[in-house]
Amino acid sequence: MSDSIAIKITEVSKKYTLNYPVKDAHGIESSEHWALKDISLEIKKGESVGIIGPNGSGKSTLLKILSGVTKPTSGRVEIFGRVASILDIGAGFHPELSGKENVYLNAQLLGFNRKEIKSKYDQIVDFSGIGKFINEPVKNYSNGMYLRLAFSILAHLDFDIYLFDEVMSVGDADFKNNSKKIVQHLIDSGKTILLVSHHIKELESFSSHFFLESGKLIPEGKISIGKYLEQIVIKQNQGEIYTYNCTINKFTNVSNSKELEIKEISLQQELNSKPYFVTDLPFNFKIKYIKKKTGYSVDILMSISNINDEIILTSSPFVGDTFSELTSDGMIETECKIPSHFFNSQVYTIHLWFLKDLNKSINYSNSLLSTENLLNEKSIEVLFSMKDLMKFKPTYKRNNIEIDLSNLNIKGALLPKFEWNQKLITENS
Amino acid sequence: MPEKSVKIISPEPDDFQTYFKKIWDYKSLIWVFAMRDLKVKYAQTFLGMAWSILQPLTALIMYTFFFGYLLQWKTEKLPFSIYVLSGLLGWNFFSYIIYQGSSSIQDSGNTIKKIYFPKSILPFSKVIVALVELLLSTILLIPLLLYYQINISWNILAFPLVIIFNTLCALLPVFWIAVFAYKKRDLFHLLPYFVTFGIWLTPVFFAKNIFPDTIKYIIELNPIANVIEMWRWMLFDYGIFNYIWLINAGIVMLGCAVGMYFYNRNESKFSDYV
Repeated sequence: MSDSIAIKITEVSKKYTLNYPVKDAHGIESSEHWALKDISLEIKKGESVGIIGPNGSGKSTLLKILSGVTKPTSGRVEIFGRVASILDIGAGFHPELSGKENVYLNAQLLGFNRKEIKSKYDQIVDFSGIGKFINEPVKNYSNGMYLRLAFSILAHLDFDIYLFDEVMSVGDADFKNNSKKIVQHLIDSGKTILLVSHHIKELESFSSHFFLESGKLIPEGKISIGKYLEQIVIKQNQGEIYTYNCTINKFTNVSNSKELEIKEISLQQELNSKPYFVTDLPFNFKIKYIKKKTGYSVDILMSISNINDEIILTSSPFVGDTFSELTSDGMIETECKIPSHFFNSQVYTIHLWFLKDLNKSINYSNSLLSTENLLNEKSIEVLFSMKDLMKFKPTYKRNNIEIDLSNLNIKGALLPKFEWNQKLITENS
Repeated sequence: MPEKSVKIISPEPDDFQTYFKKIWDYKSLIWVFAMRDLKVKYAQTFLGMAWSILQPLTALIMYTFFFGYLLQWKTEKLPFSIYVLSGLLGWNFFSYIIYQGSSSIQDSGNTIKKIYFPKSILPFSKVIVALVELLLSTILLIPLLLYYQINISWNILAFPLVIIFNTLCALLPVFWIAVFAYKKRDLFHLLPYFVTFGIWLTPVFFAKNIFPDTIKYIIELNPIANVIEMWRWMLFDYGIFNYIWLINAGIVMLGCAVGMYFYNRNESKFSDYV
């Protein structure tokens, strides 16, 4: 059934020669780097395939080979149909040329002739929203305008196969949203799509997923997405994930301070005898630290992020108008209780900030957190911050048997129980 | 476009036939890149294209003033200024293609890394730009011809042959430099020497008879010197048609073809090193 195949990749490998040899895991020096190793993959027409992999896993190299930009060291690729390879949005744009000239330049680079472009030109400009600035050189465009124009070109030209490299990771939220819609539209209209990304969210609606790690392709099923993402998070944060009751005094992501010294943190679920955190029990964590100086108070701000590094919640005693009044030095213990049925089955990053004299320095008309996940340090002094990873298993007990919800793959950053009531108001006769 | 049918990607370089077919398929890009270069070159200038005339005009004035007027170098039959300009036309065309063609892979590095097209398109597009510049420079010739009452010879019919020879002379080093310099770029640094010193072995602003007979053969063997002489022969029937030109043209053509062959075999690696 070769006629239904869009892309056939057979044992493709790609070797790069390094300028400076590096030592591998066995200590052997080598100037060879295998960006891809024996990749085989068959993509049928109309399929949408997402390839997930961390930075440096070979995603871009694979797309470069598929688009013909670089040749494989060994192996073979067959492509049936007209390919749009979008390795970079706006590749081939020239800053000195106007928007209009760049539309023609870019579309011609992608293999369209002037006549085809002319028939789509108005649509492209309309969609981009560039309007009257279309005759300005694109170097004067804002980043958003630039991206919108580039993406508009791709969206309006007709290809059979689309190769995307992290398209949705650029631009602002609005752009991401738009590009997501366009990719969805392409999927719905039966185009073949291959998108590589390290962002799982972009690939949710794709028909199949693959993982790429150190140049090797792992099909979904051998390893679940969640499991895979955990590995990436661990790698990126270079920490370990705490999954059971423990007291730790070695920390991976801590900044040192002259004023504070963390002694230990304990992560505890009372009554939990399991080797993992369950969600049907409250979760406590205690932080013991030594305050080295007197004359100021310390408040803690905690934020919890999901696997994509997006903050999903922030908590601090001051939210309930409670500020620390301890100004003397010494060992201090802070405890935080998180209720049961709160977390979902995923890895959370917990970020703690120790703030100096929050009560005196807080200004309710200014923002506390800047748009990045860092504190707005102008107004409030951060004495110390630390970050660690935690994982939970959503569970409940039925007749004393634990039921594990983690395989249900329930979406959502949190999985709270809330209070649900149901009653019969009138009975049918 | 080629993507309609099956596209096969394998480690082997394309055979010569496929390669030329690809260039043919992508031929419109030659114009696209040439137009882009021309637009970009004169972006944000008052004078725009006029700069293409001013640059050879300045060279013409300098050479004529120093060598023709101050040093009183003589050229038989032709006024010195016309002699110099007719030399500059071919020489500027040649040096433009060499400089721009050799750096074209690096200049388009970002595009090459993201979009596939046959890389020979780039030097070819520089030929188009050089042709436009050449055409603009010939405008300078008109007032001089009118002033000195000189007629264009019927040999002008050989223009296509002359311009092809001229182009091949320039593309030969472009292809070979790309082949040898994509990994280690030393040759790019040698290029300015090659061009700046080359003009002293080419009768652009001097007549070849200022060389003693014993070393005159260097100029006879220099293909680009042949081209410059051919230009004068073609425009004004100046000098005699030398059959060594044809031999040199044949050698250059062969060298260019072999250079292109190796360029084709290596061009897929350009994007890994640029």
